[in-house]
Amino acid sequence: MITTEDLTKRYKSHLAVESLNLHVRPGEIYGFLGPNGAGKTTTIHMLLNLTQPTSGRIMLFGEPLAPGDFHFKCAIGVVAEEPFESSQMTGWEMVRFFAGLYGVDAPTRRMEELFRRLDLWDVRHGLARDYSRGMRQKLSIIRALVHEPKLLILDEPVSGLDPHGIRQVRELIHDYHQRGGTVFISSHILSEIERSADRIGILHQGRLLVEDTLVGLRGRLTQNQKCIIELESVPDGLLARLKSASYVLDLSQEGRQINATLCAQPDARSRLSRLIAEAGGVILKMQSEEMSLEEAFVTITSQNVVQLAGVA
Amino acid sequence: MSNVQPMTLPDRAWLRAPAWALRGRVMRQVAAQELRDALLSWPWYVAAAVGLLLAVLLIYNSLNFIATSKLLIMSRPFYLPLLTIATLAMLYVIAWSILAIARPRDQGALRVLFFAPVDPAGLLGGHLLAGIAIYGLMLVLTTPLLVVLALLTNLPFPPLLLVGAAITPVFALVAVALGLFISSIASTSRSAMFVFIAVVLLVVGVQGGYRALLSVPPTSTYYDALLFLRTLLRAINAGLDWVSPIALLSGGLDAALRASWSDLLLRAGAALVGGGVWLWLAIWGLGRRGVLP
Repeated sequence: MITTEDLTKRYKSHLAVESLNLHVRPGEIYGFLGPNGAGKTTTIHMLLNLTQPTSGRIMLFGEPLAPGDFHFKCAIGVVAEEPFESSQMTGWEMVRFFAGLYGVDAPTRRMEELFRRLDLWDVRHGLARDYSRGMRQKLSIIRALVHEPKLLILDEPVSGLDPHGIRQVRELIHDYHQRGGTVFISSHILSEIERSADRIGILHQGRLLVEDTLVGLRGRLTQNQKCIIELESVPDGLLARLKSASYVLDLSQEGRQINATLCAQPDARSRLSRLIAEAGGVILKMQSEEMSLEEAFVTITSQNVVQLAGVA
Repeated sequence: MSNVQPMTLPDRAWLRAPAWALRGRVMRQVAAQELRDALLSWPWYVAAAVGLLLAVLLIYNSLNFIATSKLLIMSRPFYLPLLTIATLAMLYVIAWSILAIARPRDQGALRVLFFAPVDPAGLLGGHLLAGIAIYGLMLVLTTPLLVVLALLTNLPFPPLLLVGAAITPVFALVAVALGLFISSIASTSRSAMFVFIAVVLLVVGVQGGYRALLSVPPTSTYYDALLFLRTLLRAINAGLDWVSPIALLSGGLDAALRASWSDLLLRAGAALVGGGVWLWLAIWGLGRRGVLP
């Protein structure tokens, strides 16, 4: 769906994006992460032909993107932070205007569905410039979806939205994805990406450090696994047997709960549970403590950047 | 969402829709929207009202002059009033077109517009159509009132003046295209207005300077020293007659009143060529400058 090959953008002495190789597959939700100034918005602008790359190539829908191309945007919906609106258009008229630009013949039904779904139906005839920031953001999402795009590019889609609005937008994106759409989402709200993205790319100082699934990302970063085991009772001698096991690195006990740090062997957890059963223990709950995306993001973009780039 | 229709994803053929078809669609949409926005804002009505007020004052002045001088025949009493209205309408569309690209770019709205299948040619073409329509509507609104005044005052309103008025949107094309060019290349809307004011001052300066030099008597000690400057300003002035939209408008109305069709066609041709060149430069300029703030 989106492929970039050695995509580079240089502004005089500042290298905004460096040799970016992105691969967004059809039908997936791709989370594009990076700290402020990492080059995410510049990358999106290059994908939309709003700014020209210094070097490299972009393939969209399997075809190379040439300077001046604009027809491909018929199949793309874009949500970005909404600017101040000075026109005389109401929210309804604005979406209708964009539907006209996309060549949608009869957008009314689709518009009604989207306006109702995002709670803008009652204010649809109000001037768009009088909308609150959250309402403008919702309007942007309606505008991006009105023509049923093949690819949805979202740049901070939930900024300015209240929790209810975030939920509505999340469900809308989920439905769009379920119906075969591809989503390229750039966000600072890592929990949003963690919840929805199939794969994640992390950009730092213009370079793509990692491109992987969240599970794969954790695998790259987690050397050891932490396990929390709750037992019916702790049998005598169990702790000693666990401590002697080669795959158990650390152990502590809090009442009926045992906290174990296991080495990164794929069968470590199953061997652990077998050992507990052999010692006469009954496991009530076994939970592995996984690294959150936020932890992964901070780890990747912190001091070990160069080292991890080598891993990627 | 149970009532959601299945997605109709675009196929490859649809993605390869011809550029001219997409541009035509964009031009229609943008022109209609810009025209509507202009008609829903007060500056358009202020410009029309001021133009009409000045025209009425000029006619009142003509009537006073007829009364005091016992003049029996007065040719062209409506030439200057119509020229005033058309000039004000043209200044309005120049100012409108100068902000047409630069202001939404400053605000970030132009970037959002280019998320849709829009390119510089389609967008500027739409603005050009809107600008001509905005100008034309102002004339359509005000010219009949001049005809009514002609009937009330018994001053002659030659039909040829209506022919001239009908041709003037061609001259407005130059004004709008020039404004769009300045708007496309300017870094901000403020700098676009500065460039416009600088251009106006330059044109007025050239014309005023030339007239001032014409008044220098041959006996003056500076006459010979200023001869080269006078010749240069005359040449620039002659060039401006074929480039400046207001000079083209004035000359075009005059040619229509004289029924000098070849002159009128020549001026209309110059306006079409000039408008085309400015529009091409505006498209090039927007491509170079980009749509990002």
